[in-house]
Amino acid sequence: MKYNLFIISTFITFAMFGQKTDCDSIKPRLSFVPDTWTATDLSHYIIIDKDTLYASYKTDFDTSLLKSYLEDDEGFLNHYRMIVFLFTDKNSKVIYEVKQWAAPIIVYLDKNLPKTVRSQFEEFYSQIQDVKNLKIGFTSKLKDANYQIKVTTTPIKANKNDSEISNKINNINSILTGGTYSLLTDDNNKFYSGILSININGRNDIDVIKQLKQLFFMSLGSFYGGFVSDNNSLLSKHYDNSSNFSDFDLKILKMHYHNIYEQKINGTTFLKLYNLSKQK
Amino acid sequence: MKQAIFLIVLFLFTTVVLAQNNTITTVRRYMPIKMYKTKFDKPLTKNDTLNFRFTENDTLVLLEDQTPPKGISVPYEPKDSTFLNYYKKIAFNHKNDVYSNKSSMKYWKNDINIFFSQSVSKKTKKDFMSFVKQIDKAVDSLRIKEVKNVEDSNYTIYYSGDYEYEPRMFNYKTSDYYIYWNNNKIYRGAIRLDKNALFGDALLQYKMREFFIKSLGYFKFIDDFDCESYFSNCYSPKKELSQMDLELLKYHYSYGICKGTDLKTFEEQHARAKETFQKTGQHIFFLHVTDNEDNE
Repeated sequence: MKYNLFIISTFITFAMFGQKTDCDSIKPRLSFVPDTWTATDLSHYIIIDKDTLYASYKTDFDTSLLKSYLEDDEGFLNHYRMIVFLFTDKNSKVIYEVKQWAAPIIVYLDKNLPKTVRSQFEEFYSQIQDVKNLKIGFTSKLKDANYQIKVTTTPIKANKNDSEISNKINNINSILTGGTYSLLTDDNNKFYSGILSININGRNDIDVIKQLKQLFFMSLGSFYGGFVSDNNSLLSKHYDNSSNFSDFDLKILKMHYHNIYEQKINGTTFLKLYNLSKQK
Repeated sequence: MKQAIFLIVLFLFTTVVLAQNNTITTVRRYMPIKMYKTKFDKPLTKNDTLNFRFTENDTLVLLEDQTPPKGISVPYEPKDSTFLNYYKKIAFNHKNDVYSNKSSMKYWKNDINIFFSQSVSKKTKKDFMSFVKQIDKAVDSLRIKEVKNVEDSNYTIYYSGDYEYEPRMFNYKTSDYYIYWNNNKIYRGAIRLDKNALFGDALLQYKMREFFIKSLGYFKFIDDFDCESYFSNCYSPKKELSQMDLELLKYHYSYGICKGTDLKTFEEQHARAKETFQKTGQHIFFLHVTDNEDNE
């Protein structure tokens, strides 16, 4: 009901403005500025002591990228919808929504990680240079970081209850066994801090770097792993630990970060945006 | 509602008598009948009824004691509907997000005296206090300062693992804040920060500032504002107190509105104030009584 109201109010707002944006489904976030030339809507204003503040909002949302990534590739569209939304929409019992980093990621790697693991990890993720709205950097000082990768001695299981054989099998195969991550999220599904914990006891470097790469990738959008069959992908259960980013993974990131959404986006809104992009 | 009685809305009904170019103004003090019955525990007399004044929706009783109560009388501060729309969303934080006319605004009546636990570094304190001073400077009726002794404080900021200054947050798994209020007047607050999760300086400042702003009025952050605003519900590494943010705080702590009311009363008072102004050209006054009410 709330959602409907918000759609209606957005529609009315834009109708009043007499202009169309690429994204009528997302309520714009306003700032209030004193200058009429930087304002976007002079009819929406607030009077303060000796001044008037006018509404200003971003108008650079571009759905054409969605079209370019998804058109004629229904397979990829479905993969994306699975990885991000688990094929849910606004009517599902549990609703999954787009989650993004709203700040450049500055990674601190625990000194207790083997040196080769650290350097391979850094080298691998330094390949991501041309993904719009996603910046990944590294620091040697924890205080300057917003993403910490740390070694733990605590056993980490993907499923808490492993009394059943099926769960045991899942645990062995799961990307989340032996490592996990937690992210601080604001009320708009944007991440601003993260901790990735990995248990390296009794594991070789290759096993550790492979899992680190996978977990970190998942944490870039709280992506759901294990559904991709291509072993080149970091989201595959049988990831081959390739030294290069796969085209598929890079495309996922470019898709996911083509825009930083100003409001929460569920599966329904996402499809609406995609359909809008196709009409253009 | 009780404090509404003390924050008496004064209706100044003025009789003007013209005599030889001199203007004599007579001020008579009335009180809405409902408020009168709550405040004075005595039946209305025949004389009272003879002196009734009637407004469109209310009956006013002439006060026996015409001595103005001690306090500060401030004219209603008019605001445009756009501003008020945002203000209400922020200041009236509805329980479980369920809209209710009974939701009330909360505010600090006394100065805020902040005590930092020993493990909070000088740099963290300095950065945080420079932010706090912007508020202290901009908002007339809100004084905020750091104190060195916990006994002198009514606000503590500490890390998990330090002495637990606020026992109610002892078992919290994440960083949080806690405030106490009585009759919608906030009188104590605390911020507890989990340094394991907030390992970077910038993260720590972000969270401290977010909690502090919330604790100034049990504010609700909204999805209407750009993320740089402190009242928006989204993260930005470039948060700053915008003109709008400061205006919201100034208004919340302004004497030109009746403080601590529920949403229904707030709406009614604004409607009445606007109506009075349109009809008479005069603003109604809010009297903030300087009694010795003890918050605790």
